[in-house]
Amino acid sequence: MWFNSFSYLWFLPTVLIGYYAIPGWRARKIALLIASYFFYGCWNPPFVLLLAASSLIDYTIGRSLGTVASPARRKLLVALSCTVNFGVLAALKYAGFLLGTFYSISHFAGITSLPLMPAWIGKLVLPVGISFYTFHGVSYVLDVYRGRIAPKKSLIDFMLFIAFFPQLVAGPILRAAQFVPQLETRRENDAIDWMRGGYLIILGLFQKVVLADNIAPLANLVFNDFGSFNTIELWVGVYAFAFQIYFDFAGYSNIAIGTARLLGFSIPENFRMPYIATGFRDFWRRWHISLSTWLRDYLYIPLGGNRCGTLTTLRNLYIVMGLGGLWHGANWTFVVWGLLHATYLGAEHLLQPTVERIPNAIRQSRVTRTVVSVVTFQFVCLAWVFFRARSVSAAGAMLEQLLLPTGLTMNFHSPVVFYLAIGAVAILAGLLVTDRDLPKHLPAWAWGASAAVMLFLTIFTWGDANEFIYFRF
Amino acid sequence: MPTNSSTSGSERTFVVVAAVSFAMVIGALSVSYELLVRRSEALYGIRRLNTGSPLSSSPKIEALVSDLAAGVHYSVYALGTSRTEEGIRSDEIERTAGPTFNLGLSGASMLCGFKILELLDERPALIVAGVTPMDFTTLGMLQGNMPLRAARDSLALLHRRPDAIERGPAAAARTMTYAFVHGASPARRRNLGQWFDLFQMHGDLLKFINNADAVAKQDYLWIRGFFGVPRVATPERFRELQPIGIPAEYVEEHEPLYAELQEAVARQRKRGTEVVFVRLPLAPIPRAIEDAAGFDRDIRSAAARFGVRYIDGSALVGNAFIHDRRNFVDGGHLNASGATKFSHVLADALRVNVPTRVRH
Repeated sequence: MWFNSFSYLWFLPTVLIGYYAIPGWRARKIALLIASYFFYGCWNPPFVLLLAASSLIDYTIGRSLGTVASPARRKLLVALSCTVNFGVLAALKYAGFLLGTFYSISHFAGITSLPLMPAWIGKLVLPVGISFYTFHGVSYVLDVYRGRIAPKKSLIDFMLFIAFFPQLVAGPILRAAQFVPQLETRRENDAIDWMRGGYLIILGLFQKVVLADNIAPLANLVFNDFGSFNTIELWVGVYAFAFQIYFDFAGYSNIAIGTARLLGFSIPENFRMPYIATGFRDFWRRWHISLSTWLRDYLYIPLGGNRCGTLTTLRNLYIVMGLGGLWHGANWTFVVWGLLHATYLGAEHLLQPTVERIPNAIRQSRVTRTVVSVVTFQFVCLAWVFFRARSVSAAGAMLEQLLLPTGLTMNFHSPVVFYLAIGAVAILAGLLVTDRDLPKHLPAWAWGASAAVMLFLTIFTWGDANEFIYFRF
Repeated sequence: MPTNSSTSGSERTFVVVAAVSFAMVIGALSVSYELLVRRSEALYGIRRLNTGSPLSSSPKIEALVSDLAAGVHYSVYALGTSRTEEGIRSDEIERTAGPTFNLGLSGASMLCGFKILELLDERPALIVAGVTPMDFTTLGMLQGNMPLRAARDSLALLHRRPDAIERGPAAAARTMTYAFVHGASPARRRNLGQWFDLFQMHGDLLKFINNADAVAKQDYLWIRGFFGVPRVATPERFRELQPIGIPAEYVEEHEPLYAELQEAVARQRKRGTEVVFVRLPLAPIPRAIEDAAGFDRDIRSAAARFGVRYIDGSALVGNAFIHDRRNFVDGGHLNASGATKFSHVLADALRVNVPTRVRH
């Protein structure tokens, strides 16, 4: 069941009516948990058991951490949680990739007597959303271990934290500290909350159905047959993909945040206009914020962050971004994408002292910021080539064509500029709606009218429900 | 709507004004658009048109199988490689031959198209087989395996996993929505790019909404399997035949595949389907290369042996057409403009092969 499907159109109002019709808070939470498991089971019912088992293990480990005092045993419990969570993830998501890499290396080293790779490896089905709920569970255990939160006593609350359907399959990645306290007290909405929730859902659908799904064919065309296009056409295709993936994922996040808001919950924002970032650190503060802060808090900082000298900082960046890339999928293209971003971040780190010598008036001027923004965007787009390409070699060949001009005329007509203009309005609307104090920004009629136009366009350009890109991760 | 007391008076007013303006604008837009759609349907009749760009790896097979599952069947199928896919406009052929689906599959032998039709148990009145040397090569047969597999998978999905199709309340909600709001149904769906083209080209709005006549620029337009490519061949590409090794492979491998084609044609005939071979227009140099490999002689002789009508597209459109690179993407493929012109002439030429019962 996708957010942009008729099934969801039916599912959400049913859940809302049922949820608010139930008087008791505990009963409401149980109903929400059942709805979340139903939502998840729509993809592949048996995987509901995996979700439940993963939740039970982390719940039990969390409870044990609350009672065990011995540091060694506490570490053992954390190691157990990481092993189980990441072990399941590795087995289901990365087994083929790891074995394939092993075989390639062996073949390269001249070892040819290995048995054939087991056929069942290729038949493994990746449970949808596993990368997201694994991170939920691990972050909970680590937070309890570090004493940031108390272990959750209520099993219902904990299972709901892991399985809460708006964010279950494609994020944003929730932290227990952000979400679990909201389960303590009965959630109620005021009129502004209802309006914001509804507006975010309409905005998200518009970003997905009208923008991302309409830009996708152009990106697909160019990436699937890049050899037939010249440099300018390739750049248009790369820009198209950059906006496709942004609208696709931001659209999903907005629907998730809006749905949670209608249920009375607050989920943190996941995107903050990433393509106007001035630099790569700034980009990662704006793009997939829940993942980048997760990696920062649970991997980069424990590794030493930027506190142990330049070389260690660079090493940490490569480890974190390489793994961050791998989190997106079992393919070297994602790893290279992550490492490329690590290189960008490392270069920015090394250039930082030089940049700081530039007078503030120049550094912070609007012109400088615009230029830096444009340059950052180009580098981000170059990295998207690896993210979208079928293989590293294909990405390399495409990069060569992008950077060594082969033709500077555009031989296809595309309304992509038209979409981008509409997209800019949608981004602006998204920025404004995250602010609680709505009346300050736009008159009420403008809010209503813009939502109506977006909904109208969504309904009348509604195609087949296309899968969200981030469901694959 | 459950609300709590934290909403201030000004916020409440804000929400009320926003909600009223939302209702007014969505009402005004939807009702006026719906009236336009219904007016258009009254003018032109309701004609289903599957317009949209291919998004998945085998979109054509998925689209066809979903049509068949929905009870939509076609009287004419165009089979062949990318030359057919990009060269025969379904809506043009429909003018004389009835509902048409272009089952041309890029890189795949037309023989795989025959197999897919048999697999789907489709019995059209007419098969327009776009013949090329690639149809008679191992490469063409191998590349046809993927769509063939997709057809098998899609069928299996339909038969074994009925839950894969939306059913129950969700399906009812969809049906009711489309019955009530014609403009929102997939057959009436227009993406923003098409609207953009309409206004840029000052097209006829009512025709466009009905899509009785494609007003929009044929920009990667996907109409029942036809995939129109807007690019114009450069002088170099106009002289090229791609892939370059096909004529040589054809010379070595064609004989058993002609025998297979003969059997496929015979089976279709038994099922009551007429078959016509069409060689799509080619630029002069690629045509000469293919003829030198013996293709023209072989296909004419095969058509005569099988008792099938053969239409030479180059002869049909004439010399001026095939010497004008503005009709081509490269030496072997028509672009959207060339495909429109050629399909128009082809539709007239096919009149004699179309049983009266399916003619429009």
